[in-house]
Formats: sequence, C-alpha cells, structure tokens
Amino acid sequence: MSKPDKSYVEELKLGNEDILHKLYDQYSDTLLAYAKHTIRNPLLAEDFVQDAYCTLWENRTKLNSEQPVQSYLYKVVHSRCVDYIRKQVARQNYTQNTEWRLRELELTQNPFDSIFVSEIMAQEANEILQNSLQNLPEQTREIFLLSRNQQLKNSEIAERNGVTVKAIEYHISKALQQLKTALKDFL
Amino acid sequence: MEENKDISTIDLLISKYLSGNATGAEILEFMDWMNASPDNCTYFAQYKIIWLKSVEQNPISKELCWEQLQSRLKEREIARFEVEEIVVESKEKTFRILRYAASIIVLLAISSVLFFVAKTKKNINLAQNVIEVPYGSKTSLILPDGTKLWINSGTKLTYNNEYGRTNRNIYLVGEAYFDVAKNRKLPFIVHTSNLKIKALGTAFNVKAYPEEKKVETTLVRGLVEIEKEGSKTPIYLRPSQKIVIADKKTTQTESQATSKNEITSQNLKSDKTDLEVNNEIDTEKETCWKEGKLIFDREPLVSLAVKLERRYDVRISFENEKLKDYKYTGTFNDLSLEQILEAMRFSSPINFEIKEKNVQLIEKD
Repeated sequence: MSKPDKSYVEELKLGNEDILHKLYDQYSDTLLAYAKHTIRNPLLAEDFVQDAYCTLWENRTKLNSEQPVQSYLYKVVHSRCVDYIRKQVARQNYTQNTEWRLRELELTQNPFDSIFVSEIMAQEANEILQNSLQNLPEQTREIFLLSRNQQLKNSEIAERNGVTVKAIEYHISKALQQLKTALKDFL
Repeated sequence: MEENKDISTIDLLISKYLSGNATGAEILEFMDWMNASPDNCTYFAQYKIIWLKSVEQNPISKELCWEQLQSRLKEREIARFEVEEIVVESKEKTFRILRYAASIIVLLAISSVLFFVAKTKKNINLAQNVIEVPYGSKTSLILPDGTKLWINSGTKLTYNNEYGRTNRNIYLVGEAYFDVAKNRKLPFIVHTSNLKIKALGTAFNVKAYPEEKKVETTLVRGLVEIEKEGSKTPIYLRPSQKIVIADKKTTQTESQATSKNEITSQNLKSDKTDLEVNNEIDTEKETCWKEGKLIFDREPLVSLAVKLERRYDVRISFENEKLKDYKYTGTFNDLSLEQILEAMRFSSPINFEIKEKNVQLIEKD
C-alpha cells in the first residue's frame, strides 16, 4: 500500500486555498452522491458537503498528516448524514424508507473509510473507472448514465428507449458488474 | 427473461435498490439478505462505492456551489471575529422591524382561516395564515423561524401553522423579499404559480404578479435552487443574478407533450426559450422597494406606471400610446405620488392630471 499523501495536508496547513479547490474538484461529486443517497434531500446534501469543506479549512492547522484529507471529508459528511437520519427517526418524522436507510447505514458503515487511502490510489481508481465507463457497450453505457446521472426511473428509460423494463434492469446490473470487476483491486 | 441469465438475482436486486427502482417487497428481501451475513454487507458496500463514484456532477451547478462555498467560508470567518458586534446589532434591528410590523399590522387584512383538508382521510386541521397587503401599502414581519419578510403592495402570501416545525413553505402571489434564517433540517421553499424556489440561508427577492405573466427571482446572497413545474433540471442562481421565467401555462403543456420523446438537452432548450438570466445586476434596484425607494433606470413609462399604481393605489392612464415607451430615469426616496409626478414634470416632457384616484399622463407641448 502506498503512503498517504502528506503534501495536501502540508499545503492546507500553509493556507493554500488552491488545494481546497482541487480537493473540491476531485471529491465533491462522490461526497454529494453519498449524502444524497443517504438523506434523499439534494439541497441539504449540498449543504453538508460544503460544511465538510468549511470544517476542513477551519481545522487545517490541526490536521493529522498521516490521515488522507479525503477520508476526513468523508467522515464529516458521513456523521452529518447519520445525525440527520437518527434525528428524523427520533422525532418519528420518517417513512419506512428512512428506517431502511438507517439500517443500510448501520450495516455498511462508511464504505469510504477503508478504501482509497492514498491520493495516488484514488486518482488511479478514478481513471480506471472513467475508462471502464467508456468501454461499456454503447447501449449499456447510455442506459446506465441515464439512471445514474439523470436519476430517471427504469420505467422512464424503458419508455424513452423503446425497450422493456427488464432490459433496463439488465443493462444497469451489467454496467455495475463490469465496473466492479475493473476496480476489484481497489475495493 | 432470457437475457438476464448471466446476472445473479442478488446483483439484480442490488442494482434495483441502488438506482431507486426496488419495490417495498424487494427492499425487504434485500435487507434480509444484508442481515444474513457481514460478507453480504461487504459485497453490497463495494457495489455502493461503484454506484456513488460513477456519478457525474453537472459542471455548472458544481462551479456555482464552489463559489457559494467560498463566500460561505468568508462569512464564517467574519462571524468568528465579530460575534459580539453582530449579536448587539441584530437585536436592535429585530426590535425595529417588530415595532414597524406591529404598527402596520392593524391596517392589514391578516386573517387566520381554518380549513379542512377534505382530500386526506385523516381530518387534519391546518390553520392557514393569509397575509394580504393591499395596493398602496407594504409591510415587513418576522416569521416564527426568524426569517424576515418584506412584502410589497398588492401581494398575497400564505403559510400554514406548521411553518417552522415540519415545513417552511410559503405561497406567494405578488412581490416579497426574503432574508431566510438558516435551518439545516428544513429547506425554505417559495411556491409561485409555476415555480418552486428553494433556499437554505439566503436573501432573495421574488416578483410574481399574475398580471405580469412572468416570475423574477433576484439573489442577493447565498444560493437558491429553482425548480420549474414540469422540468427535471433545477436552475441554480448565484448572487447578483436575476432570472426571469415566463409563466405561460399553455405553451408549457405543449412543450411538455412534445419533449416526452426527446433527449434531455432538447428539453432544456425548450425550457430556455422562456427563461432569461441576467448577470451582474444591481440588486439594490430590485430590492429598494422595501426601504420605500423607487429606482428607475431607463424604465419605460408603461412599467413605471404599474409600479406607481401598486405603490400608491391609483389608476394611471396615458394620453397617447407613444408616451408608454418614453424611458425615464430617476430615484425617489420615500416620496408622495404628487412629489414624484412633480419631479417627473420638471425633468421630462411629461405632464399630469390627478382626479381622485385616477392619474393621466400627458405629453407636454
């Protein structure tokens, strides 16, 4: 395993705002996707992500050089999301789905805790992921990205592309399966 | 189905769950499987990482959010150094606004109407607070959550008594300025006839007079998300930007019907034809009404007249059509209608006649 990248932390400690921007470019998408998946509230999810970056910046002098910066960000977002869902459940202001999501959280914890420990690995994994996405069969990629980025329902994609819902399910599963195989060394 | 054979049942179930397509029964099945062993949880966690990492953010909203993050950092920095000052100042301001609100509240038709939501099976009683500000007056008030409102003439604003507890929904017909109190849990949402404008902790102006057939939103600080009825893509607004969205119910249903089979980018295009974004606008000009100011910057008399009508509760007519296009520039600080008209007579080729509540604008010889 390669060493955690110390230079980002060092640069942050020196007050280099460009590094914050770089970290935003690299990790905010996934952090946002994580928060959205967890709390199902896009606006609040964005707020949590921004708060994580603010917290990182404000605590930059106290950062541990041995710990990668991105795992700090994941931790803040994760704990905000967990707090939010727990409070919802405590106030009984929730649906069955909230309860399931809390269960899912408890069972999977923060999946980013153990992976992508170094900056180099994270970048490498991202590159492989992007390449694998490009290498998916045309139709599979198109359907997967419609589901992933446009958040269309399977039934909507089926209607739009003139195929069955079953076929959509197949393509999405197939895409996930292939991406997972490509990234197996990083998981 | 034949082609699904090379995908295991569990992989199919996981992908349905992650993409939000699983039914209640399928989620239960998934949860049972997760509970069965920690290995299953790890297996799922790997899929979850793939799902989360393969997302692609809209680059425009990402850029806007980065800008908002920067201003937020600055705000937090200032807040840390000036905590004491701010506490003192905000107390004074609040007191002033409350006193102002209390004095004018008597003039207003504030009615609390109880109505029963008959459609829901449970008989929930929701008290609707309706604030109607007639032509010729304006008001400001503070909502239970600390959000400050300035409401312009000829405006109707509604919220229910769950406001601040389970929702922060405001229904607006007319014009209001919102200085929204921060609340992580409840997004603040202004509903107009065809838009939803969501905010977290921001200040913005919304102008949605039905007779103008358009909705104007101006952001002073923070970030708002605008969701147009029938459109999947939200629009983000940054400080000093103003967005004008046409409220054309008929054309909208047409575009909805045709866009059904078109790709998203075309969908966006059809949306763009009836919206307009203005950058670097002078927010002072859009929000000065709350201080009683009127600012006109090469404003055609026809729209200037509408503003005066609302503000002073009068009817304005034109001697001839040509006058309507005459552009007037000027700033008025809380003046009476007569004072404004006098000033206009002095500085432009316009004369006027007032008969009770009717004003006629006349071209000077």
